[in-house]
Amino acid sequence: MPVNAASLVIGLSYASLLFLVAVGLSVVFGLMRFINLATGSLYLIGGYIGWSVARSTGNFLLAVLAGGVAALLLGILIERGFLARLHRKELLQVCLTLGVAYIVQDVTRWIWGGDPLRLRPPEMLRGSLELFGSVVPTYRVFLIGVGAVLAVLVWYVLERTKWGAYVRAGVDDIEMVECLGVNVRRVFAIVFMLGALLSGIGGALGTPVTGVAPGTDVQLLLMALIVVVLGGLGSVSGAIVASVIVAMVDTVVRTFWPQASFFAVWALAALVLIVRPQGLLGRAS
Amino acid sequence: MMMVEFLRQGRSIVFVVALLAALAVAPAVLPTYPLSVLTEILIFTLFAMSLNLLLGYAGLPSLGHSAFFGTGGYVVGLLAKYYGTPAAAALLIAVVAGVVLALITGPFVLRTHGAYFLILTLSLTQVLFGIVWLWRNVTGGDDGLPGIPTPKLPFLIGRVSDTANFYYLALVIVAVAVASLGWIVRSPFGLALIGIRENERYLEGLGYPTWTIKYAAYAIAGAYAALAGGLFAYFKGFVGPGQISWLLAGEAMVMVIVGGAGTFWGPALGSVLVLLLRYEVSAFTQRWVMILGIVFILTVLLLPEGFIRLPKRLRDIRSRLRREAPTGPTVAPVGRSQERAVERAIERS
Amino acid sequence: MAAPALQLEHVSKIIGGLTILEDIALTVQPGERRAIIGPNGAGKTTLLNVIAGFLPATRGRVLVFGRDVTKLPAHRRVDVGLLKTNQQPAVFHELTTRQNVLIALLRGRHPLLGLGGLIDRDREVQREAERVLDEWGLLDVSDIEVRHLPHGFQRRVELAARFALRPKLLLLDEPAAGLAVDEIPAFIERLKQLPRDMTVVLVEHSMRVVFSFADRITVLHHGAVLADGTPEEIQRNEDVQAAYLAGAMRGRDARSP
Repeated sequence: MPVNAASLVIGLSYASLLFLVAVGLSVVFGLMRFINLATGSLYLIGGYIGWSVARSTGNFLLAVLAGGVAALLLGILIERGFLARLHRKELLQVCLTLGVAYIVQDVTRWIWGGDPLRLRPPEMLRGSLELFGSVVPTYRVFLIGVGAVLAVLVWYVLERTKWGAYVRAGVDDIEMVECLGVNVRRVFAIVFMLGALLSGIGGALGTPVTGVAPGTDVQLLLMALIVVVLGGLGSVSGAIVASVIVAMVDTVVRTFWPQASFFAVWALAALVLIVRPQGLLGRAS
Repeated sequence: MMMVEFLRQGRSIVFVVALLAALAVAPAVLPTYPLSVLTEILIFTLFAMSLNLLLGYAGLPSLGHSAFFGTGGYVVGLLAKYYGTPAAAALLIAVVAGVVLALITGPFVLRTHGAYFLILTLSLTQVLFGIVWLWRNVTGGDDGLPGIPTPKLPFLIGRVSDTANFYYLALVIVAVAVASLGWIVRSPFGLALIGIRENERYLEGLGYPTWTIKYAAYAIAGAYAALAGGLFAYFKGFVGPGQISWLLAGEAMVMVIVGGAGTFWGPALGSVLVLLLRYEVSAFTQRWVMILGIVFILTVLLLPEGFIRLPKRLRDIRSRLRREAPTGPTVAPVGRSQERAVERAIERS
Repeated sequence: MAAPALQLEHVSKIIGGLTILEDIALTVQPGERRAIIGPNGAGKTTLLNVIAGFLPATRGRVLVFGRDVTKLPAHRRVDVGLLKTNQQPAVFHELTTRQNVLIALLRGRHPLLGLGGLIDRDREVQREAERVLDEWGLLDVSDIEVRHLPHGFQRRVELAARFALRPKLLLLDEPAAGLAVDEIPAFIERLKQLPRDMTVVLVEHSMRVVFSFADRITVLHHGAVLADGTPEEIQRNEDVQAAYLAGAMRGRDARSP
């Protein structure tokens, strides 16, 4: 049977990575109608920095942190430097973040070369374990755990704290939140930076699985865009659900019909948007 | 008033005539390689201008316009390869195919707007990409369809090089297409598109069937993009999935924005800038991707209305510097003559 | 007797489970000036949007000059002479004053959704635009983008564009909002000069405008019609005073006609 515990683990671990990249994109998207095409670049930079730090220090945890911080710094640069001036100008946002993506892609290729780099997981997470009669890589199981913890954390912050309430209210009606005296720009900036941090962490965590190479950014960006629209703009639960759906569909189709995996996910996105333009868990505007 | 109008029109006629003359004599002075770059610029001008109709005029941010470009390319490729269809007929069928694709997908994508429109157009394009990729025995999959014979203008055969011959063919087609686009944006339909960009609901309140207008604009933009895609397939002698890829749509979008979205000549300028950057900069440095990225960012920050506004922008900066000198910074949303006009009108009323 | 200019039968509007309008009945005779007043949140703007076709009615029928327009989209209702102004003037900010007038005049003039003509070549429409601009005192600002104009002028551009389409039934949504106090008398004069063959339905907070202009007044309260009558009747009506007028007259520029 092709859909067994192994493919479930592979799918869910991929879902963890997708969620990390997509959740920031989704909330920023929902909150400010802001389109960040440099999302994949944040993942890329996290991956490369993580790879280098792990190589030189041998410390995996440090590598993941460094990857996250590197992406965070890039996020701060993008947000403070550029985006603060481009509120509600979608076309300019697209052009600008595409420019950032080009630069990041070229600079990273310059530094790390064009070959895919792959990081070995830390000692204790190598190897495999048996789960429901299938042999699965330990690191994948670890990824699922990390993804689940972070998803719960993000969900808690956004759904259960006062600060999260501002964000959610801002997704629904930004003017109303402004009327309450909340500095929406600051909330947005923080969300953007947290999103960048998560993407970077995702990049570093993902290197043992996806590897990192020129083109990883585009691949992750496209997948994250699908997750965002499928789940509904600005919806955390939507991002969780959609990450799992997209990753599982991708994994299953890859098993049965490898050439079509790319196509299947997009067809799914197009289909959902045609039936429900606001996404699975998004609210109709 | 009329005099100003007349002069302005006169100036733009002089500009168009000079441009056409320069383009007509270009093969006499340009070697083969720059001439083929110029051919590509012509084709991408048409592609970017067609996208501008949606993006700049109607305010519909499509990131999937390459679907039409690629469809045009594949129609031409298939017809030329398997049926030996003459170029005129193949291009015409390509245009029809573009319109049909737009008429089919339009009702779905036009339910959305803004960011959702962007992603839905992207998704549909990726689906098309996937179909082309998988349907190997017709489309050739990732190998594409090579060996598309380049059409030639018969009366020029033997008189000019093959490169120049196709250049003239592309020039004639693009010139006619651009002229017809000029008609469209200066027609009441064009004004209505701007109205939709500004506020669709207000336009509806004036009795315009806005949905139908958007649908028509989508189909028209699809038609021109398919024409450009067909030309491009002939130009390359090849059509492949890369010509449907969203990267191409993104590139066209950047051309429109860098040149000046919502202005008639902006996309042409954008295609010149982006393609020259690509071919010229890549000749002396490996880092042209980075330079392209820097240009995008600088454009957004310094020339958000595009390079077409560069002269006006420079004038503004100069006059502001002059005015600021004694009084310190002033925010001047309107020119002084406009301020006076408003004051005059207020006094009279 | 001719059909009423506007007739609403049992019109209700429910949005997200919330009843905004409940069983509204309203008849406005041709040539009448009708004001619709009511406290904030009474559903006045929603009512105008239902009449104009921007919001579909959940229940009930809307008839304009005897024709059932309930199912018609907003742009088709313009065909029967129905036009509406907005609280924020419905003008195109990045177009010039002249283009704002032209866009109205050009509606349906050329075949193929307007593709069949060129604006510059249509001398007749150019002359007509010139005339409209002159009539509304907008010639001096005709080639300025509307976003640069002060609010009062944007309102004038909006009205000029609507009048270019020769409305038979005009819906005005708080036209005096945003006007300075000293601009209001001139504005009332302008309203009074509207031709008598035009029916006007007005939603307005300024009691001064309402009482000096309206033939009849309808009072909305919590989405339902509370009272309907001449200005004198409305002023004497105790329900109205209790629910609305007392508070409103204290708060606003209350001055009897």
